[in-house]
Amino acid sequence: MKYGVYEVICSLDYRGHSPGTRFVARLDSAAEARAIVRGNIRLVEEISSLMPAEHELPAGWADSTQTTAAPSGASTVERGK
Amino acid sequence: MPKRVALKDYVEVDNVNLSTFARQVSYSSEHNRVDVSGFNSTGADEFLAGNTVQQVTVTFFGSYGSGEVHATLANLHKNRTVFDFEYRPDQTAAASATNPALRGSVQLLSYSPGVTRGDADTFDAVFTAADANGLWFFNT
Repeated sequence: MKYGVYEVICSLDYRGHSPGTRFVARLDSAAEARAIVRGNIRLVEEISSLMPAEHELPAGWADSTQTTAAPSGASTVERGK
Repeated sequence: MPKRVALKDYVEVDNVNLSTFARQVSYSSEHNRVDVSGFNSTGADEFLAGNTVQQVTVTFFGSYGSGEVHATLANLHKNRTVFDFEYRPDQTAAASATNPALRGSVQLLSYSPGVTRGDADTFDAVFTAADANGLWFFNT
C-alpha cells in the first residue's frame, strides 16, 4: 500500500486541505496524476508500508495447537458491574 | 429550518474546491416516464418510472490560472474522465442531515466556455452521473 505526503501548491483547496498545507493520503493514481499535472498539489514524499507483503509471527507466538477460545478462567465477568 | 440565501455554498470538482469560481448550481434527477396506458373507462394515462437521468449544472466564472477552472475542466472533458463531484449548501460545515452533500461520479460531456464583451466571463458546465450510484445526497 502506497501513501504520499502531498503539498497543496495551488491557490485553491484540494480535498479540503488549504493552500500551502501538507497532508498524508492514499490517492487514486489517476486522480493524483491529474492533480499534479494541473498544479494543484505536489508529491513531497512517497511512503511505502514497512510491513512486508508476507510475514510471520515471532517464534513461539502461535503454533498449530493455538485455538481462538480463551482458556477457562482467563477472564471473569461479574454480574452488575 | 430557516430560509437561506445562497452565499457559502461549496462546489468541489475532481477534489478541487472551485467554490469561489461558481455562482449557480442546479441539480436535476428525472425518471423517464414510460407510458403503460391501456384502454380504460376514464381515458387517463398511466405511467411507470423508467430509467433515471441525473445531472448538476454549475455556472462558473471563466478563469485560466494554474489549477483553476479551465485547468480543471478542460482535460476532464477532453479525456472523457470519470471524476468525483460534490456540492453542499454550507462550506463552513461538514456534511450532515441539515447540510447534505450532493455527491457522485460524473463526466463533463460538453465543455463550452464563451464570453461577451464587457460582461463577466461565465459559462455553464453540466456534470452528468457516470455510474449506477448516480448523483445523490449524503448526510455524512
